[in-house]
Amino acid sequence: MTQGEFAKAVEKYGDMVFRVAFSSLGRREDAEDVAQEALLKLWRSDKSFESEEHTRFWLIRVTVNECRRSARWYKRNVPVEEVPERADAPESRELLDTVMGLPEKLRVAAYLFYYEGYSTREIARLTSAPEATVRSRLSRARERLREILKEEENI
Amino acid sequence: MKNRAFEEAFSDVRLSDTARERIIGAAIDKAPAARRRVLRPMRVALAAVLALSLLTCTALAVSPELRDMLWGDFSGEAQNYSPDESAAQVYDGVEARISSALTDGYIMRLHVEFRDTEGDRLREIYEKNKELHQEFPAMGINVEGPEGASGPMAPYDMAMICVPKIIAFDGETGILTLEFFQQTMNPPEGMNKISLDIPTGFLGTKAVTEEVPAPEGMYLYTDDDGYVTDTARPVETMTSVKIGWRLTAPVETLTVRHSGTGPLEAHVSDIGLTVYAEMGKAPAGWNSDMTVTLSNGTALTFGNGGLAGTMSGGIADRLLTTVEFAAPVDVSNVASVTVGGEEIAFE
Repeated sequence: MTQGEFAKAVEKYGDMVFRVAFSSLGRREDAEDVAQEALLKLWRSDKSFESEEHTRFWLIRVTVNECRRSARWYKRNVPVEEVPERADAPESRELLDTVMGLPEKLRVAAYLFYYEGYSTREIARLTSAPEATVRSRLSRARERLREILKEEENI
Repeated sequence: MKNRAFEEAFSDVRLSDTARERIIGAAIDKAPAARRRVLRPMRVALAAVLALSLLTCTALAVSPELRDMLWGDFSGEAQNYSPDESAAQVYDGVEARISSALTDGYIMRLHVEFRDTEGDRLREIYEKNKELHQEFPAMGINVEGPEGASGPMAPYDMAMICVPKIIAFDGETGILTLEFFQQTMNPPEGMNKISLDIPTGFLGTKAVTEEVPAPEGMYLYTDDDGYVTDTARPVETMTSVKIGWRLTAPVETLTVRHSGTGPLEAHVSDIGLTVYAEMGKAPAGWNSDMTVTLSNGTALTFGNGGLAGTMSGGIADRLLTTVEFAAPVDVSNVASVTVGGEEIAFE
């Protein structure tokens, strides 16, 4: 991958990677750090991707793993009282605030399902969780979001 | 199942332009790190820390068995570098020692043994890596000559990086062996040394950063017109410790240029083949469909195991592919290479 190609990839996938990280971590600064690590892994990788969808899928999986590493780092290195509040979200929006108020695993599943449009099977692969667990997480997320989403969906 | 309300809610959750610039800049920097987890620049303190904690070691510790395992058919005669006074260093209690080195200037492969002289950090890192399959940060190998170095540090616009991978961990001695494999686009004339810059912070050591002037040609950020270099803006980079080996015998390399679909340049050494092409002018399959034909008619391909791993990269419009031979090849016996269907004969 050339520098020009990498710059294009950052342009193309940067927002998606950042949103996945933000939906997991809830803090802009941490999400930017994770986005950086995930995109640099793409830069360092000599992996050949079969399609754009393959690239997206790989990047999301790397991002999810980086989020876990970041969360573990926080747990080990930052006293609970020093963990920043999730106050640096963009302007307050009802749905976004509600989503970000969900437990981490629920909001990641919800984001991947409702925003990225992945199926429960694909989310299971992305997050290394059983498909039944993903369905359960989505169901619980939907219960919390039903009022806002205002729709009935068969997950 | 996409949801319109969800899409609208997240539409403004976007990676900032500042973060984009930093990410692109970090791809060029040899040791990118998350901003929050690095120390502030301390040039003076750094010099003191390094002066106190660096310890030069000269012994060579790799066992013949391990070398055979690592190098296979390349052990022995193809090992063209040997240790000198900079073969090993200790930083923050972790000793780094090059155990073998091989390069023809284009392909660089190093094996480095690490040992924690003060604790058991490497065992923890090995166990964690084994469990989580996490990658180490990228760093750079340099090929140096009388006039300077070539590799990730100089010049920046020829940057290549490598991500080390674990080769072995000895539970009894606590020695962690990592492999570094990298290509370089522009080996220096009269190369005589191969070296590795190991960033502080690697393998659990204390991380120290410093601000350095942006080198000429290093892209810092992009604007509407493309890449922009701002040499007035310093770059925050991780300091590093250098280890290296000296070249013990000249490396014989054959070079040939060819004009077909587009200009191609091929270099063959006893360890591999390197091909340059221009973006948009390379024949289809130029970096995957390759054959090296020997004067006795033997064809080395990926299919018959004659060619081993390949790695592609490039900067701007100059593309590069390196291919390692599965076993050493006498360059005087190489008759031609075929790249993407175009045969390039060696006189």
